[in-house]
Amino acid sequence: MGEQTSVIIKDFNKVYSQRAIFDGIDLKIRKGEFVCILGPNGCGKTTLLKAIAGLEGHSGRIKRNFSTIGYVGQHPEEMLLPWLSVRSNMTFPGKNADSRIVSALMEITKLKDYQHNFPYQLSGGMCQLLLIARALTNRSDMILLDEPFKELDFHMARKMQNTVLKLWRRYRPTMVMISHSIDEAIYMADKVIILSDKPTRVKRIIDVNLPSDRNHGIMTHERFIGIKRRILNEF
Amino acid sequence: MSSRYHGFIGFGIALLIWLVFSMIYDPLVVPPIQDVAEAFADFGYEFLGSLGMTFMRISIAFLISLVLGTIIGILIGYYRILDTSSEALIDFMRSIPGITLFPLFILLFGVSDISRVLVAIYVGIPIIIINTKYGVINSSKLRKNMAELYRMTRLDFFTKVIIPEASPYIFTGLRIAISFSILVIVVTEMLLGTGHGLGSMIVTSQFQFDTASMFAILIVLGLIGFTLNLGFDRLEKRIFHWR
Repeated sequence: MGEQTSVIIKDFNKVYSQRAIFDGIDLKIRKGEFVCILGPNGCGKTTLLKAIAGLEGHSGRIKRNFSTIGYVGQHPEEMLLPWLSVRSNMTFPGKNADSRIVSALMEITKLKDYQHNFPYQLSGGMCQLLLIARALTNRSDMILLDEPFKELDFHMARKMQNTVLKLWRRYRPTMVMISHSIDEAIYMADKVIILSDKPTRVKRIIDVNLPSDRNHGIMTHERFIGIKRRILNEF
Repeated sequence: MSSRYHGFIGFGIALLIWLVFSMIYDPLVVPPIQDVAEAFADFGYEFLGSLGMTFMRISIAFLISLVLGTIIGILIGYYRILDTSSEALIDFMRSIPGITLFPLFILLFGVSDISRVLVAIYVGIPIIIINTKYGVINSSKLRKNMAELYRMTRLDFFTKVIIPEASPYIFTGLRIAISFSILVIVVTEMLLGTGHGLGSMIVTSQFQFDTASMFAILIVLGLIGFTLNLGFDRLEKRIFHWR
């Protein structure tokens, strides 16, 4: 596998109740790339993400070329450790936590005021923020995000999108994100993968040729709208 | 009346029943409350020595059961092969009433504290092992996966994820195990008295028809169990704040 590739997926499939979910997925994700996966409900996006993380059994091959993973799942309360404080959860497991990023994220997410509290004392949205923050503080070279902003309010979601983008531009981990928002996918990623309905296959890969230094104002730009139209045509 | 005082109602009823029985039966069988109170007041250094000995035996048995039971339980709960290979043996061994092994331990180690403590350990360990094992087995798969993803060291994995996850189960095991430790130690003290120990004092009091002292010791034993239970309750609320 070339040094520039983070993940190579070949003929990926998964069987649930004697039924194959996928129609053999082939994918290549380059190092430092920000990829967003779009697709209908139940098409196996989370299964694919978990398989990349090595958490899901499957057929086919996945070659991984990364050392550490940050994972933001859909059940934040369960992915956090309720017996550890907010701060300890954020720096968990601790060995790679960057104190500058921790302080910055504490400020941005407003979790600083709750750093000595426990996850069960936070709202669902705050737990989601904490989970995102944890994935970012550990300087992982692969970050997997499963609908990371869906529990957040509009303003916080935008703020966190910018934070994630800022940290991605700075440290360039490979990012794979699942989303149901086309706007979010285009805004965040430099490649959007559209999956079909079951049996799931890669329907289209669309390169987002937008400047990497973006702000939400870009959503009104003609190029952004053009990409959005192309994606909408696939659904 | 506040619910915290409801417990006194039960004690009140028990005292009332005692009072009635002490009026019906001979004082040598059911002593009056005031006689028991006097027996309490008469307790001297001998009683304190016995209390200390019983407490020490219970503590040693419990601490050894705690350490070994928790470690073995965690390993059995985590490594499937250890569970499948030991499950039948543990079930078989815990089916043998521990106290019946006392004669065997006496043959091996003599009439000594070692024999008494070993019987209590034999009874306590499986309880802690089984509870700990289920605590580990039932711990959140998501959190275990997450720990795997973050490539935690084995030590961190067990101390920061597995043990806290399993700790409510471990605690339940400890609560049951300490009750059994008290029971087994006192019974073994009763079977072969050494002159020291609350069990031995109960038997001696019975031989001397000093039922008031016997009742007083029984009350002390009840108080030990009650206090330990209360302590565990408080500790549980403090430690498992997230539950």
